[in-house]
Amino acid sequence: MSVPILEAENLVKNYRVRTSRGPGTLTAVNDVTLRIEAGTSYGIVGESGCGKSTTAKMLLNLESPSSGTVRFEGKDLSTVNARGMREVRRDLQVIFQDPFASLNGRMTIRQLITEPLRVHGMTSKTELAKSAAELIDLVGLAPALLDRYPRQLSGGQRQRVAIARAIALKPKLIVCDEPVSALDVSVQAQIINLLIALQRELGLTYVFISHDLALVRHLCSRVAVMYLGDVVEEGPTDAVFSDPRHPYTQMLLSSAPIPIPQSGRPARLKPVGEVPSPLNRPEGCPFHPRCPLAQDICRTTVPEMRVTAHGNRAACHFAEGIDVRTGVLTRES
Amino acid sequence: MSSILTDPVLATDVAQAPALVIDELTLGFGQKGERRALNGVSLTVARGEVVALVGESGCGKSLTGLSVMGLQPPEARLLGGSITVAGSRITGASEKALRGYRGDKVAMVFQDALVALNPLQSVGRQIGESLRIHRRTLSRAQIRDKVLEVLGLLGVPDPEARLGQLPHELSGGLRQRMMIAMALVTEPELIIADEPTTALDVTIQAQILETLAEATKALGTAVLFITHDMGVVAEIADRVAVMYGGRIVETGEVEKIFASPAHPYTRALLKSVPRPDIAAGGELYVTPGNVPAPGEAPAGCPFRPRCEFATEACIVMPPWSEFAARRGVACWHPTDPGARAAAPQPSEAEPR
Repeated sequence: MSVPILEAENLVKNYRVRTSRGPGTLTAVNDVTLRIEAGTSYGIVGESGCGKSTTAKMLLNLESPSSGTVRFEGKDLSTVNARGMREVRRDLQVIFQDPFASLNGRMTIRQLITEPLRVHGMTSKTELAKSAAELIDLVGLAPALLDRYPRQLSGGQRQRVAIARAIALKPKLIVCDEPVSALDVSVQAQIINLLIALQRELGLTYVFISHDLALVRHLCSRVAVMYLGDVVEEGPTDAVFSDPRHPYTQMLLSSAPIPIPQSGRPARLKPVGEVPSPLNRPEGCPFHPRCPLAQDICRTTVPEMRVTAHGNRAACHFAEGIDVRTGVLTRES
Repeated sequence: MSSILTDPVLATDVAQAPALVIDELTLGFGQKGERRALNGVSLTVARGEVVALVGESGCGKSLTGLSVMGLQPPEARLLGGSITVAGSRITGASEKALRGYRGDKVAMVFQDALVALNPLQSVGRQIGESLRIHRRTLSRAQIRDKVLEVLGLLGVPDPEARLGQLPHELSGGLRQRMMIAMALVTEPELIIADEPTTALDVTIQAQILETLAEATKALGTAVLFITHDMGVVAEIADRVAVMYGGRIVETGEVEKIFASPAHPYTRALLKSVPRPDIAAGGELYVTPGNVPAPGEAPAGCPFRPRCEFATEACIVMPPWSEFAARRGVACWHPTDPGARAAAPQPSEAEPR
C-alpha cells in the first residue's frame, strides 16, 4: 500500500484548565488515528465538542499534539523546524469557515490572493499580476474584483477569494474547516461545485471537516465520525452512511433533517440527554451514558475498533449485532 | 383583493379566526420607503397549524416574523396591508395594545437563547414573567405550578431543580427549551419561531424539533416557523411558504411542494441541497447570480434575473394563482403541471 499523504497516529490533545472546582484537564482529542490517501476527499464529522476542529489544527501543525504523531508525505511534522514548515505550507493549505473573519479587511483582493506567493519569494510584478489573473479566473470571479476590498464582496465571493489564496501555491492537500456553513444554500452549491472542479483540475486532496452529513456524503469517499475526542466509526462513505455500525453514527444520521417529508422516513434511534463535558469523560465507552443500547460491558471497557462486513470500522462492543431500524442487539461481536 | 382572503379556512366569527392573517403587507425603508423589504406579503396560518416560512438571507422572512409581533425596526414604513392575530389587528395598533398581545396571544422564540434570555435572572423567574403580566389573577404558587407544567410538557428532566438556575448554567438544548417554555406558558394562539434550532447540534436539533411539535400540538398552538433549511421544513411543517426578494412566491402542503415544486425558485432550492437520494460526487444544481439585498429586489418578479424560465412577461409581477386546494404560486411559467394549466396569461397582468 502506498504511503498515505497525511497520517495521524494516536493523536491526543489535552488542555489544562481552571474550573470552579480547581485545576482540571480538558481532553479535546482523546485518541485519533487517520490515514488519508492522495487525490481523495476525506470527511471528518461530528457535533460541537467532538474534537474535529482541534484535530484539523493538529493536522495542519497549527497546534502540537500532547502525544501522537502527524505525518505529511511521510515526514513527522513535529520534527520539522520553522524553515522546513515554510516548505510544507506550500503543499498543506487551509480554508476556514468564516469568510467575513478570515480575510484581512485592509488588503485588496489582489493583495490577498498574491500574499502566499509573495511570502514564498515571488517578487516579479509581472509574474504576480499574471498569477492573480489566473487565480481569480480559476475561482470564477471577475478580474474587476481584484482592486476591491473584502467588505465590498458577498460571503460567497469572499469564500472564493479564500479558496484562491489556498490554491495559489498549488498545494497537494487542503483542509477545509466548514467551508460553506456560513453561506446561503444556493451559494453553497456554487462553492461545492468549485471545490469539486478544482480537485479534478489540480489533483488536490481534501480533508473536509463538517457537521453537515449530506455535504460530506456528497463530497467525500471516506469519513471518520468523531464523538467526545474519539473516532467512533470510520470507513468508505457509502458504507458508513448506508450501514452505520456505531449507535452514535446511526443516531447522527437519523437526526439530520433531510428534505424529504415525514412519510418516507424510517424510525429513528434517539440519543438520551446531552453531551457530557470533555472535562469529565465517562469510563468505558465514551458514548455509553447516552446510548439507549448500553450494556454492562460498555460502562467498564473501552471498545476497540472492529472491522465490519462493509469495510467500515466501529468502536462498539456490538458493532456487528445492531439492527439499525429497531435498535435491537442480536449478538455481541 | 388577494384570493387568500376567500380561503374557506377563514370565518367572520372572531373565536374561529385563523391564528394569523397577513394581507398584502408592504414595508419599505428609506426616505419615502422606496426600498421595499416586504412587497405585498400575504399568508394565513390556521389554528394549530405549523407553517414554515422558508427563504435565504435577505428575503424578508425574519422581518415578517418581527412584524407579526409589532417588533419591526422603527425605520420600516408600513406602506400597505395588515396583520391580524387571532382576530386582533396588529398593524396600526398602539404600543399599549401590542404589549397586551405580546406574550399572551402571540410569542416569539429566537435563535440564540444565550442572547435572548436575561443572564441575571433565573430561568424559572423568566418563564413566569409572562404569567405575572398577563395572568394577574394567579397566585405565586399557581404561577410556579404552571411553569413546572410547561417544563414537563417540554420534556425537561428534573424541572424543579431548573427553576433557580441561570441561563449560562444550562446546555444549549436546555436553554432553548427554556425559551420555548417562556413562549408557551401563556398558551398563546400563535408562536413565531425564528430559526430556533439553527445554532444547535444536529442531535439536539432533532430533539428540540420533536419536542416543539409535540408541545404545540398538545396546546393547539399555531406555529410560524422561520428557517432557511429545507430539511427542517420537511421535518416539522404542515404547510410551507417560500419567500424571495420580499415576496411569497409559493405556498402549499409540504408533501406536495417537495414532490412537485411549482415555482422555479423552490425547484432550484430543492435541487441545490445535497440529498441522500441524489447521486454523490456530481455537480450540484446551481442558480447563477446572488440573492438580492433586502429592499433591492428588481421590479416585476424578483427572481427574474436568475430564472432559467424567465421571459419578457416577467418584468411584470405575476398575480397569485391558487391552482389547487391550499396551493398557490406567483409565476408566469410555473414548474408544476397543475400550476401551468391554471397559470394566468401575461396579457391579463397589471403592472405592480
